[in-house]
Amino acid sequence: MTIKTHRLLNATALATILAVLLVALLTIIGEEYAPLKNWLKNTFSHHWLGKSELSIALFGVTTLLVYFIGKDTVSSVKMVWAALVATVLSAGAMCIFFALHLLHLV
Amino acid sequence: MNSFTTLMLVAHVIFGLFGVAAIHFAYMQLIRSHPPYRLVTWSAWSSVFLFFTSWITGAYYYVVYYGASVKPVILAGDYPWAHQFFMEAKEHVFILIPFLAIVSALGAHALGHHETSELKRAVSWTMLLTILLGIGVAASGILISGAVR
Repeated sequence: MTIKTHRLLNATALATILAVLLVALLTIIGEEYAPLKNWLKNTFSHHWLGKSELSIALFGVTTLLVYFIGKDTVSSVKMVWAALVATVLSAGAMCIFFALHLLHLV
Repeated sequence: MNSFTTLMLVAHVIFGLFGVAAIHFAYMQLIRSHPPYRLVTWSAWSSVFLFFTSWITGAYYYVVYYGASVKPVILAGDYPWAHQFFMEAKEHVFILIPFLAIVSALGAHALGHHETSELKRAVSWTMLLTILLGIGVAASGILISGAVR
């Protein structure tokens, strides 16, 4: 694997971790704390567009930052696994939250 | 629903399903003992393009039409949980898929340069998770469509 490929894979894996966690946090906190959801609606015209655009922006900025100023000491294998685990946690947290919401438990 | 909104909905579904098919094809090639990495990488990048196109077309339908015309019908019908759980979960889990597809595609590209069994296993599981999330989102879409009727 070339240094550039290694660094880009690490950068996108870290960017994925941050983006998927941001989506879960904005979604769950937004449902429980109305001002956050209202801010997303008012700023981006729709809360879902806000989550989409913010996650893309965070992904892009993180990828560029890590690619250009990051170090090459972290294992790509670990970063890919970490991105996978973060996605499972994010999707799981949101599904559990909406199930609890449906049952009026949150 | 006007014809443009219908077109956006159909495009969202078709691009999404083709995205799942593309990453599935990449996965099936990757788990071979001697994967054709150019084909795996090309297929994985195709899925990235298809997922992002599905995202854009789905956004138009969801923001312009669903909230005002479909959501109230589901909530007033016999299956309000179709929106309260399945749509809410689907619309947010969907956002995660394109990012995971990018990691899959870059992982496949990296494997094409230098194959290691550890990275191959990690990228395979990443592709498999992308497929499973895609299938879950597609199945939720079918269920939600059924709840409108």
